[in-house]
Amino acid sequence: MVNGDRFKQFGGMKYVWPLALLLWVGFLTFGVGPLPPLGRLLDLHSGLWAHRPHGLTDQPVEGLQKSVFVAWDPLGVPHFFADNEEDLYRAQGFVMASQRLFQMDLSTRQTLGRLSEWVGDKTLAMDRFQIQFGMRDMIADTEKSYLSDPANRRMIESFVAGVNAYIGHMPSLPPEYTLLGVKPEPFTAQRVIAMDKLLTFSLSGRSFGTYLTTLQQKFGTAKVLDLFPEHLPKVFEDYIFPENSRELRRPEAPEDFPFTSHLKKIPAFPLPNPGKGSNNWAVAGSRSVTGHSLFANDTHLGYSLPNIWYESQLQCPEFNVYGVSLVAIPGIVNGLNSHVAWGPTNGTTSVLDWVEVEFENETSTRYKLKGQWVEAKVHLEHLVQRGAPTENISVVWTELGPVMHREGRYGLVANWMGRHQNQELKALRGLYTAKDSRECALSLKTFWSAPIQNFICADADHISIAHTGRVPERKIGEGRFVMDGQEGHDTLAEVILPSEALELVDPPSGIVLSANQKAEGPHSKHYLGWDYEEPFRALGIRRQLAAKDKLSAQDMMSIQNDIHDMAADFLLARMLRAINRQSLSAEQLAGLENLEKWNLKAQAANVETTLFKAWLSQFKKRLAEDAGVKDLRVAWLLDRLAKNPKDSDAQFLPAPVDISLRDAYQAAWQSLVERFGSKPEAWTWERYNAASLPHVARLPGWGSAILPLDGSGESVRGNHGKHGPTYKAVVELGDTPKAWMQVPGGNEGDPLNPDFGRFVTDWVKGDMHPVEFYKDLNEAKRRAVRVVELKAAGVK
Amino acid sequence: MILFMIGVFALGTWFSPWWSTVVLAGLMAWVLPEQTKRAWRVGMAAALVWIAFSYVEDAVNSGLVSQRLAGLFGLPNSGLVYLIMGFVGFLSAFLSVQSVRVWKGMLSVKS
Repeated sequence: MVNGDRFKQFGGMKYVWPLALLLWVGFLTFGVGPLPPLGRLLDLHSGLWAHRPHGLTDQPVEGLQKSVFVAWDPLGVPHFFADNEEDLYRAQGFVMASQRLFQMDLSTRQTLGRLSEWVGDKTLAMDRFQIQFGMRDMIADTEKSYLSDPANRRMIESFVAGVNAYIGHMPSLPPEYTLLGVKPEPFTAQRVIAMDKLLTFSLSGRSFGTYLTTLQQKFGTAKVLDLFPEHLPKVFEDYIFPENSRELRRPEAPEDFPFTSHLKKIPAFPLPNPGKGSNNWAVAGSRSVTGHSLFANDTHLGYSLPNIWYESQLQCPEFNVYGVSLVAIPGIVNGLNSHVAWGPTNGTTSVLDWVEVEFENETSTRYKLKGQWVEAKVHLEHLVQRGAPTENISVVWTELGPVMHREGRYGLVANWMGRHQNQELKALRGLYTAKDSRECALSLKTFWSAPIQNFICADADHISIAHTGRVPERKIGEGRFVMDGQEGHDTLAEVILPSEALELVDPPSGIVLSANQKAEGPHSKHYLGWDYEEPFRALGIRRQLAAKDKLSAQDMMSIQNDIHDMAADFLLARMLRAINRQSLSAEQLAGLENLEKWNLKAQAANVETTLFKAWLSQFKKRLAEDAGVKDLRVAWLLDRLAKNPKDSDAQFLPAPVDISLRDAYQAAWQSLVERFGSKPEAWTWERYNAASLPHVARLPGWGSAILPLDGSGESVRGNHGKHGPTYKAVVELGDTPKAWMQVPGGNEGDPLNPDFGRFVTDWVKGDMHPVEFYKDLNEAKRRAVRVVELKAAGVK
Repeated sequence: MILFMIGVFALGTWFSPWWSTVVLAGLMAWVLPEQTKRAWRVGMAAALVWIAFSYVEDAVNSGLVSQRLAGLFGLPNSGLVYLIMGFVGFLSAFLSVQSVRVWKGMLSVKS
C-alpha cells in the first residue's frame, strides 16, 4: 500500500476527521459556488423551518394618531378605515410590508442599481446600466420635487414610517432574506420614488431610436422608412383618437433625416417590450344594458408571484377608494371611488430620444454645445458587489442627458422624459376625491408627467380617454433615429399644451378604448413618432364591442378573456393561399389542413396556435432577421403578402414569397419536432408558450409551474409567456358602482404562507371576483372575515 | 444511551442554532468516550432529531418549507428534503465525534 505509507507519513487517519469536520462546517457556514450556506438555510432553530406565516393581530403601531381598523374580506383584501389621511398611509405601509417586504426591497433596488449588493456578479450589467443612465440622480431630483409638495410629503413619509414600524417589529424575517443571508434596511422615501421610476422606466425608458439608426447605417434611410412605416395600411389601422382629424400633416420623408450618426458600434439597448401593454375601454350609457357607463381595464405587466399590484380599500373622512397600488407605492393607482372609475394603458408615444454629442478628444468630458466646448457634469457612483470589490462608475451628464456609450470623439446621450420633474402621486390623489370623469381627467392632465398613459375616466354618465403626460411636440422625424446634439435642441422640452391635449370625451360612438396602439392616424396635427404597438388587441376589442347593441358587465369580462388570435386573423389565410406546397410531407400537409380548419382561438391545449406562431416567426426570420432586421411589423408582412407571391426582394428575401413561406413552414416543423418530439399532438400552445408565474427573485420552485393559460400575444387576452394581464377590473357605474377585479396570486407575498399564490387557478380560468367595496366601517365589520385594530402609539 | 443522545440533540436544536449538533456531539465524545465509541450511532441520533424536527415544523407550515427547499435543490419529491436533513444532522455529529476522538488520541490507527 504505497498510498497508505505516504498517508502515514502525514500522520495517517489522525488528520482526516478534523479536516473533514472543518471542511463540512465551512461548507455549511459559507456555502460553495452557487450553493447557499446550508447551515443557516436548514437551521431548525431560526432558518426556513422555523418560519411561521403570521396574520396581523391587534397591536400598537408607532406614530399612529388614532386607531386604524383593517378589515380583511373573504378574498384576503385589506380594507383600511382611518380617521385621517396620514394614519391611512401609515397603516397601509405597515400592512403592505407585512405581506410584501422582500418584494418592495428587491424591486426598488433594481432602479437604484443595488441588486449586486445581494446577488453578486449576475446582476452587474443591470446595475451598471441603471447607474450610468443617471437613475440615482433622477431619483434624488424627483424625491426633492415630490417632497416639496406638503400633501405628497405627508403621504410618502407616513407610508415610509408605517413600513419601518413593521420592520422594527416583525415576528420573523421574510424567508427570501434568510435564503440570501441579508437583512432589510430602513425603508426610505427614496425607495418609493425608485419604484415609481422602475415603472416609468419599464414603460417608457426604451425606444427604437438606436436600433433603427444601426439599420439606417446599413440599408439607408428610405429602406428603414419602408420597413418600419410611419402609418399603417388601411385594412389594419386603429387609432385611440380616430376623430381628431383637425389638420392633415404631411408624412415623414427621407429628407427629414439629413443627419447620420458617426457612431458605428451602438450597443443593442433593449427595445420596447410588446408584452408590457394593456387594455382599457369604456362604454357609454347609450350602449349599455344598465343605461350607465361600463368600464374595463387590464394591465399587462411581467408575470410574477407575488404580483406587482397590491389590492386594498382606503377610507378616511376625505375619500373612499378601492383598487390596486404598486408594491412600495402608497395609495391607489388604478381603481374606483363612489363616483368614478379610472385606469390606464401604456401610451406608446416615445419619450426617449437618443442624441449624439462630440467631445473635444477621445477621453475628454468637454463636449460641443452651440459651437462652444462645455464641461459635462461628472460624478462617481459606487456599485457595491457581493463578494467582490466595489466598482466606481462615472456618471457623465450633458445638457440633454447622461452619456451611455462612447466611441472615439463621439458619444451617445439618452434624453429621457423621466429626468424632468414629475408629480404623479399628486395626480392620483386628485382621483380619490373626483366627483365625475371631468374632475378625474383634469387632475391627470394637470399633474401627470411620465410615462405617457392612455387614462380612461368614467362616471355613471360620462366617459373620456386622454393621452396623459408630457407628450412632446416634435418636428416631423424627431426621435426616429439618433439625432445631432450640437445645437443642444431638447426635443422633449416642448410639450403639447393641455388645451390641445389628445383626448376624447363622450364620443358619439359611445366607446373609448386603447390597447397601446398609435394615438393618432395620418390626419393628426402632431407628429407622435413611430413607436407604437400594432393594433391587434384594439381591433379585437372594437370588433367585439360592435357585435352587440347593448353591452353588460359580463360582456366586458368575456371580451377581456377573448383569445381570438388577431395576427392569425389578418395573416393566416393569406399565408395559406400563398404557400407553395410542393415537396411538403403528408404530415406537413395535414398540418396545413388543420390550420385551414382552425377557429383561430389561441387555446392552451391546441397545436394550431403553436404551428402558426412558429411558422410566422420562421418566415420573419427568413424575410428579414437573417439580414439583421428584427421586430418587423405585421403591417409590413401584410403588404408583402398582398404582392405577387412570385416576387422576391434581393436584399431581404432569398427566394420568392411562396417558396420562402414553404421553407419557413418546414423549418418551423423541424424545430417543433426537435423541441417536442415527432408527434404533433404534443406541440400544445401551453408547452410552446410556457407561461408561468415565477417568484419575483426567480427562485426555482417558489413560483408556479407552467400554466395552461389561454391567449397569445396577439389576442385581447394577452399572454406573451412572460407578460400578460396582471390586474383586471370591470366596473358597472351607477348610483352605487359595482366592480369585479382579479390580481393573479392575490395579495400575500410570503412564499411560506398557504395564501401565497391563492387564486392562480381562477386567474388561469379568467374568473374575476366581485369587489367588496364597503361604505363604512360598520358594513366592513358585518361582512369582513376579521377586523384588526392598529392602535395609536407614540414614536419611540 | 441512544435516547439520552436524542434528548441532548433535541434540547440543543430547540434552543440554539444548527451548529449545536456539532458542539454537543463533540462534547459527548469528550465526556463519554466509551459510550460514543461507535460514532455512527451518535450520528444516527442526530439524524433522527433533525428529521423529526423538520417533519414537525413542516407539518405546522402546511408542508410548504419542504416543498420550497425541494424546488431550490431541484428534487422531484419534497419527502427527499427530510433525507437531506437527516444526512446533514448525521454528518455534523459523526465528524465531530470522530475528530474529538482523534484529538483525545483514542482512535488507534490501524493499517
